[in-house]
Amino acid sequence: MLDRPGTADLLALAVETLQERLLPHLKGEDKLTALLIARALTIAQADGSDDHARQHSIADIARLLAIPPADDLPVAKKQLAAAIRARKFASGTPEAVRLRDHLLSDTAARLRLVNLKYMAARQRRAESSV
Amino acid sequence: MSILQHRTALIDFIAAQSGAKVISLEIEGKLGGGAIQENWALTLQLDGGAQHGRHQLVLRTDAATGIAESRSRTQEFALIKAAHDAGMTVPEPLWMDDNGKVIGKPFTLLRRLSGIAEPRLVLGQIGDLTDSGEIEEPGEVLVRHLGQEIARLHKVVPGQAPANLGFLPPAGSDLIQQRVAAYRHWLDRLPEAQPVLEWALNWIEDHAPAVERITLCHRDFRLGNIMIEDGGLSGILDFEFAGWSDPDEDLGWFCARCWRFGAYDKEAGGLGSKETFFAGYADVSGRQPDPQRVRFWEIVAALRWALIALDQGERCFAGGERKIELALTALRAIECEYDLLLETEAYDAPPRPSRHKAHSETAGEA
Repeated sequence: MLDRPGTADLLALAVETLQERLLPHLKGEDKLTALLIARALTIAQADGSDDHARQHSIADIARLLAIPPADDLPVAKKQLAAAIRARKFASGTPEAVRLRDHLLSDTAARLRLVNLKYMAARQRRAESSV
Repeated sequence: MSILQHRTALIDFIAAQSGAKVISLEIEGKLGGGAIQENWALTLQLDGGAQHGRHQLVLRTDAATGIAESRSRTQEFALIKAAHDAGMTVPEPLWMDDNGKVIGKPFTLLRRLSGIAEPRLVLGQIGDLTDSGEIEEPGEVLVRHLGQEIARLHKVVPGQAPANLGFLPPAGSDLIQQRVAAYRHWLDRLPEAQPVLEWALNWIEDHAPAVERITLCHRDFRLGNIMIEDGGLSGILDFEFAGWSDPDEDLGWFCARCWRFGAYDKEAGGLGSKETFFAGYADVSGRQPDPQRVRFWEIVAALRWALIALDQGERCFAGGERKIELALTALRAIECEYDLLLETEAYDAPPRPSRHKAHSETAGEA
C-alpha cells in the first residue's frame, strides 16, 4: 500500500540507523541483540524484494505436480510435501530428478537470503570425507 | 521465573537431602546457554554430613517453554547418574526435587564444572593452544578423548541398565523406521509443510542400514554440551535427549556438518579428524566405527536438527517465548535442508582421501 517511503525503504533505513547510530554504542548482550535485530531486518528486506522467486517456486511446483498453480506458496508447498510422502516421485525416474532439482534450487534461493556465507563455504567443499 | 524468591525453601530442601546444616547459599544468577532449560549458579556451604564443605552447584529446571523431544528434569537426573556410574566425565548428580513443591517446578542440583561450553569460545581456545604450541594438535587430543568418553556411555546396554531408566522407550531393530514415523508426525505438527524434509525422510527410509546394537546414547553430543577448560575436557553436559539408540547416532551427530560451528574441514565436531575421534572410540569400545554408517547418521542428524530448529521458531511464534534468537534459529533449518540435499548425493560417491591421520600421541584406554 505504501509508496514512498515503502516497506523496502523503511526497512533499509531501519537497518542503516541501527548499524550506524546504535550499534557503535552498544556492548555485550545488548550489542548481540542489536546484531540479531539487524540480521532479522536484513533478511526481511531481502525476502520482501523477492516476490519473483515466490511466483517461480509456485509455478515450478505446479509443473512438477501437473496441477494448476496454487494461490500462495504455503499451499503449493503443502501439495508438494503430500505428493513426496505419498511416494509419487518414483526413485530413478525423470520426475524424481526434476523434483530433486527443484528442491535444490528452491533451497539454494532461500539459503542465499538467510546465510550466503554458509552457502559459499558449502560450495568450497572444504571438508574431506572419511 | 526467578528462584531467588524460593531461597528459604531451597535451603530447607538441601538441608534435608544432605543431612547437613546449610551455612550459606548464594544464588549467583542465571547461567548462559540452555535454550530449553534454565541453569542457575549456586554456591553452597554445608556444615556436617557426608558433604561437609563448600560446593559450587548448578540448579537445572525447565525454561518457560520446551520442545517435544526433551526429557523431564528427573529423568535427566537418572540419565546423568547412569553416565556417571559408567565412568563418563559428567557433573556429579547430587539431589533432585521431582514434585515442584520447593521452587514451583521440578529441578535438579548438579556439581558445577569449571570451563567454557560456548562453541566459538572453545574453538578459539583450541586455536590459541595450537598457535602457542603448548599442546601439539590440541583439537586431535580432545577428539580422541571425546571418542573415549562417548564409548563409555555406550557400554550401558538395555539388559544391564539401572532400573531407574525404565522410563526410556525401548528401541530395537526397527529403530530407524520408528524414528522416521516419529519425524513425520513431528512434521505434521508444524504449521508449514517442509518438502525437503519429507524428501529426506524418504531417503532415510530407503537407505537405512540394519541396526546392529542398541546402547544408551546421549543424542545431543556436540560442542555446546561439552565443558572445556584449558583445551581439555571438563565434563559432558545436557542429557535431556538421551535414550536407547544405535550408538552410531551419537557419532553421526557429533560429526554432522551442522555441529562443526564453521570449522567444516574438522569433521569431528569442528575440533579434529574423524579418524582420531573413531580411534578414541575404539580405544574404549573395542569397536572401530564404520564410516559409512556414521555418514548415514550425519544425514539423520541434519534432518533432526532442522526439526528442532523449526520447533525453536514455534516456541517464539506459538509458544509465547518471544525471542529473536528463537526466530532466527528456525532459519537454520534451511542450512540443514541444503546439507541434506548435497550429503545424500555424496553418500554413494566413493570417499575422497582424508588429509588427516589418526592421532597417536594420546594415551588410549584399552
